[in-house]
Amino acid sequence: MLKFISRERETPAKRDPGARARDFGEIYKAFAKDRAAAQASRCSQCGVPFCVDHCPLGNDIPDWLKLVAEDRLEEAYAVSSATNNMPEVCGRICPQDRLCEGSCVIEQSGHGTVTIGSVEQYITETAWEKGWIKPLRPAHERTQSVGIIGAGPAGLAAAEELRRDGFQVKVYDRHDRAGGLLIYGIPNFKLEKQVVTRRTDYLEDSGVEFAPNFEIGRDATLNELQAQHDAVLIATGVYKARDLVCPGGGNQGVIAALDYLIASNRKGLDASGRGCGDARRGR
Amino acid sequence: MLDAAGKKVVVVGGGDTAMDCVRTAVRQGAKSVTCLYRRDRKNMPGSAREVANAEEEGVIFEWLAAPKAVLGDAARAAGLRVARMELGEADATGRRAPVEIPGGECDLDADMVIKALGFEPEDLPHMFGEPALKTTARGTLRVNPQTLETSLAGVYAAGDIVRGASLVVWAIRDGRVAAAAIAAQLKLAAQPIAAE
Repeated sequence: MLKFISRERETPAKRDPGARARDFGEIYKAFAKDRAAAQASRCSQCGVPFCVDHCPLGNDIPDWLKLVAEDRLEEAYAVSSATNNMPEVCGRICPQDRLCEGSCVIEQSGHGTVTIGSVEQYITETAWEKGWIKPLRPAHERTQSVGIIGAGPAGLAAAEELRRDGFQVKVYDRHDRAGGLLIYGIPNFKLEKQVVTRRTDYLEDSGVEFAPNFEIGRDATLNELQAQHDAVLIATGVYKARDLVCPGGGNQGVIAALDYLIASNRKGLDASGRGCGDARRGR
Repeated sequence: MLDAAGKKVVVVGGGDTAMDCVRTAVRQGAKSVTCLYRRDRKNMPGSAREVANAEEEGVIFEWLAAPKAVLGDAARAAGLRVARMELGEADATGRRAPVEIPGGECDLDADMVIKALGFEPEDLPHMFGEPALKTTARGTLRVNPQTLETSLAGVYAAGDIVRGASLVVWAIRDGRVAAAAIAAQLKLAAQPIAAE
């Protein structure tokens, strides 16, 4: 550790702009093992880690950086996943410059922050690859059930936590696939869809039930859902586009960002021929 | 209509969603992609990393520019009338508000105009047929901040519908907080603590 004095900050290589603008693949290459360990060892293990304070999840970042530097990756994954339901997603799309990395002590001292997000992604990708992430098998099954409306990040995180605790969990979503904005909002070049479906597949294998194409108010009232479950969680997100307030702003030719992104993401998903939850129902 | 191939695309807005749109348009083979934002680069709400990536990919940024009118007819956009802005006095939130520079307007060609100006909550009490579900003045759901329970007993809420449009990492946190509160409540219901 403390290698920030002699070792420069490095970020994963980016694909060439000309090449990446022609497809929807992710633009950052993943850290290789030696580079992840080398970069993790730049952490100063400072006494008051502001990175933890500035992470909404309070991730124990210095702890898992130290474990990566010592090549104790399985333990690093255990620590990282204890506070985060999808570290490989956060590693890719969090604005680290405004959160953990922006408040890193060695960043403040002018040495350049530890590349926390890339190491986080590396840990969890390794965990998937090595088979350390196994479907949940709760020690004690409870009869009580929870209905979750919305299969985005909030709903999925709650689903995993409740299922881990042995509750019966059913996640309703108005779209044909689970994932919410992770699947239909964020483009592939920032977050490849296979990363999201791997998580939703894992939840399904853990016993979480998904009900896609299900709209509360159309297919059931909230009241009916309450009657079916012991508790209900609403995690529907915010989807209404703010309007362009100027003459012509309401014209049909003016497209809402989310409609545009959903259409593009849907095309990519349909081309890849496989969704999650819904598509796996035929197994 | 939702494909940018061969089109001149203008995206209005400066957040992460606007960046997702401009970079998608590049990949769909747009003829040109322009991002219009009414403040300057320093005051953009989106991540600086994403702006840099978009610039590398050939997106043109028009800073301090705001749409004045959408040109064309009701069915099809043909361009935008754009006003030039400057940053004026700081408003109540401490951010300097953009003010129009008189006489600075110009027209921009566009076959496709995308609005990425942020998101608002849908009217859930109406959609869900549940008028007793209480909302805030912003339309988000009103919850107990400790448990994330709504005005309806046993109904909780988490993520953007409580917080307003925010980050994935905050949604995950909210989901975890709600799950813990729900689990505690249900365990209590299943096995009530005996009265002393």
